[in-house]
Amino acid sequence: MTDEEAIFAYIDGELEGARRAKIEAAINADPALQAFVAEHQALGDRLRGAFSTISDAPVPIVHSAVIMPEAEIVLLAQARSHREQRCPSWTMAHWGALAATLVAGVIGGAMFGDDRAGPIVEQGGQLVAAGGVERALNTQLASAQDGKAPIQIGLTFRNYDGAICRSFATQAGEGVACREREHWRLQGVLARKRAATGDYRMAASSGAVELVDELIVGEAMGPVEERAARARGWNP
Amino acid sequence: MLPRLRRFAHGLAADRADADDLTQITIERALRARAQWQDGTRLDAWLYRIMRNCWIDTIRSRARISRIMAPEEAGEHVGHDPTAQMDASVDLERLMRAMEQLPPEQREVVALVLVEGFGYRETAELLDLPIGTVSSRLVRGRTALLALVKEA
Repeated sequence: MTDEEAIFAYIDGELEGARRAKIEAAINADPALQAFVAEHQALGDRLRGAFSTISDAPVPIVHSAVIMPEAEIVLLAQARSHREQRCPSWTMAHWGALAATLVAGVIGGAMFGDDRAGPIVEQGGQLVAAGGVERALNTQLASAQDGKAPIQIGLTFRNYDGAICRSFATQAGEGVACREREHWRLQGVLARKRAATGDYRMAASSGAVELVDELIVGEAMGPVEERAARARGWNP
Repeated sequence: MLPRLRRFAHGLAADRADADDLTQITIERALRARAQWQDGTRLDAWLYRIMRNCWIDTIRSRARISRIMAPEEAGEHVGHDPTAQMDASVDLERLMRAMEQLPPEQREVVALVLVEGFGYRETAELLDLPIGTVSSRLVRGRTALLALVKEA
């Protein structure tokens, strides 16, 4: 690693311990180096700020790809004519659901298989929670749950349609489901990542958290609201 | 995931329209190839890799076209903004034009590390490169980028 590479590695948070301390000392002792670091930090901040306008913006409709039941894919050209008639304007909620569909479609085989008795079942073309997951979603309060319970409830919140949604985590994965009539309809499920990625500098972002971000309107419910929502049978 | 994928596309592609095309192509390719994604591996890295391959395909076919067309004057538009308006979205256009002047192999490491926040090791794995190559390309890429945005 050249000196220059080491300085950039320092800026990028790639150095630790003695190597970090050494570079830090060199920078502190040299005003020219301080200016250099500041300039490059500013460039990084500027890039992230400008590009965040993309990641914070709603995804335009052109990116949609429709996933049909049986994991049949209808690509853009085939789907477009139908969609233009049906969906004049898409909201972020649609996009959140679509993004989730994409993820669920990709990992679906691994998570669900054909086992209809599992915690997630297909019903009328939708994935809904069943078994232990459904039970946990119905009864468990995030504020009063046993930390050792096999299924942990995360956040309870409302989506764009006013429906109540809850995030949950199991040993195999995590997901978000929203209440639709008598069911918890899955918005997305992600398989848990392997622990082998432990040497990554940056903790991998949690998929369920991203999904909650996309769906949530307002703040997540506190313990009192959560309890009241359960008393109403999770109806809006 | 989609918003992040789109952001990466804007880091690679020459303009917003190209970036949106790239996102679309990537999603379609990912859906077609979804059986190849292995459970337990990082979905984001897999999608980024597909996007990067799509982008390489695009620039290769562009290169064939541009050989028979007059090249645009390099750096012509970079950084000129008389009102000095630093609105993030305006700034994005400017930065994308500057990024476009970087050689592709530098552009992708700048996009992955500086914009997407991947670590050096993750970037090296994603691009199938030695970590030292990532590090040296980063030096050249961000040095050139800083010079381009300061030119104005």
